[in-house]
Amino acid sequence: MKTKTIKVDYLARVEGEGALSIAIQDNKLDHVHLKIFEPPRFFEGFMRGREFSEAPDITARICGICPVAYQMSSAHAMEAACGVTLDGPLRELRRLLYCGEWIESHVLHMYMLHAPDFLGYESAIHMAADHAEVVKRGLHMKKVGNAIVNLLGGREIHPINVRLGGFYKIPPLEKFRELAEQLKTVRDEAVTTAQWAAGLDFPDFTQDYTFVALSHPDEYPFNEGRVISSDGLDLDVNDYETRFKEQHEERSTALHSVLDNHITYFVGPLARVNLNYDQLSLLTRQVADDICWERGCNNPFKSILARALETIYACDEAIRIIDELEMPEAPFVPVEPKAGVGCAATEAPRGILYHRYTIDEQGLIQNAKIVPPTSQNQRVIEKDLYHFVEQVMHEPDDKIQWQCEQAIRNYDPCISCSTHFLNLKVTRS
Amino acid sequence: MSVVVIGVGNPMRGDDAVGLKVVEALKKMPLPKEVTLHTNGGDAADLIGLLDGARAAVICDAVQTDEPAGSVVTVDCSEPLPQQLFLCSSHAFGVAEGIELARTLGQLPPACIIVGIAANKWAVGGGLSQPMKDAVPQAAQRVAAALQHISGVDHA
Repeated sequence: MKTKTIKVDYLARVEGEGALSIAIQDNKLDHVHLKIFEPPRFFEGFMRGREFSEAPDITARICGICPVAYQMSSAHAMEAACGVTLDGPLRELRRLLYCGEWIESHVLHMYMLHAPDFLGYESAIHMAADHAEVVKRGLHMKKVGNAIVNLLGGREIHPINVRLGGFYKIPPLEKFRELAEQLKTVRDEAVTTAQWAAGLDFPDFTQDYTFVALSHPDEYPFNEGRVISSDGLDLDVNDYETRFKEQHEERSTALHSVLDNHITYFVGPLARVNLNYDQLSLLTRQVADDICWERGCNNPFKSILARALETIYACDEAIRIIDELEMPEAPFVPVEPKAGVGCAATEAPRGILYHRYTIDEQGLIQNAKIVPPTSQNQRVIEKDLYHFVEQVMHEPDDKIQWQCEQAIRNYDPCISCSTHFLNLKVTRS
Repeated sequence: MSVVVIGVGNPMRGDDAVGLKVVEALKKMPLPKEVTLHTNGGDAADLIGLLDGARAAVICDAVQTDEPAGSVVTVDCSEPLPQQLFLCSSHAFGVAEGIELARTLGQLPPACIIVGIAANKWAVGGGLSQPMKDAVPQAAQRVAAALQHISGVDHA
């Protein structure tokens, strides 16, 4: 029996640390395992005993790329526990903050992490030598996404201005207006991005997926909505844990999430665009038509296109919010502690982020549960790799490795979030 | 064209905050008029934006070296940087990558140096360790001297 091993110690351009192991026996694929070895981060544990008001600031530290998502899910869950609902300008400003995070996160991933895969470069630095204008465009777009988070979040990384009930301070209206002018340029660049990304060479790979995303009758989902799936699921967020369970896998320090005990599902931009297409802005849908976007797309490599469409949407939505913005009477509404349980799910750039907290009458956290998007996507990443490797097994090992890394990045996995991830090992025997 | 000083760091990651502290110290020192002080949380894309259009840059950051903690080192960016010098950002796109990307894009200022402070404590939530606190005035002096040199060369 012949054995062959390909090993890559660290998979670059993903968040956190982990490994991928692929075993091929007698030209037949035996298994594909994602091994996550970043230490568990125990955030859920050390939240216990802390003040309910601390949750947005503590959980924002879980991820440097999507801190807003953690702030939004935790704030909404706590507000739900205390019977507070935000509406009007405060609700709109939270959407605006999320637009900023989507723009910076999506642009970073499309241009700096995923584009080099498609164009055959080791990194964005190597890509920049031949595609300087493309990289400069990405950098400019990201800067404006950062500017939104900086203005409304207080700073770009681990923003500090979100609190239960709203914000600590609301910047003056003219600051938002200045941003709107920059966003109009970035919206044009986002359209160019979608047209550019549509010209990339996509591997011919499709799967039968169960897509899961939030859905809201009046808007593309950011901060609230029912949990729906491409298979007909339609669930109140408070019932999330009745259908979605986390399972421990020995090889991983991140839990794997499944639907109805066995269904592997897919969250993130591709799921959102597929399930909420009609809620995208008119411009976004026009660009989708121009690039021949296929409704119900099930090629995960086209996630980069879904990110590009969502970036247009985020710019459009941010401009709309600023154009219609009325300054709130106060930067926050009071939130008084109330013993009980609160749940919330919001759409992080990588997909649904679910939080549940139990607090006592003093507002001390008794229990916390956090289900990040990457732990929900781990099984689908493994499944994709299994079927993808079957298709490309005859290729040289270095090409398999390259394409597997690209396939993993379809999901923009955020391993440090999911463990609160990657080296690649291919064994042929 | 301006001269930029950029302090890089995360205020919540122990010694990593030292670049920010050096910029704070520089605010109290007399500096050439054309100098602008900036801070950066480790986002390489933003770092490139700060470098773009400047004629000279001094970047101040915590670095990993074999030198004792608190040692101040100067690195000239006219040559490609050793990647292991910097603790990577969580998305593996940190200061070294930012500088190299700026170089590739033609956005690296003609004069660019890094004043690095050898660090060894990166704990979440911790403040600066004593050797780092002690190193801040020296690092600030090193930056100020570099700025004088840049101005002096230009005026010569």
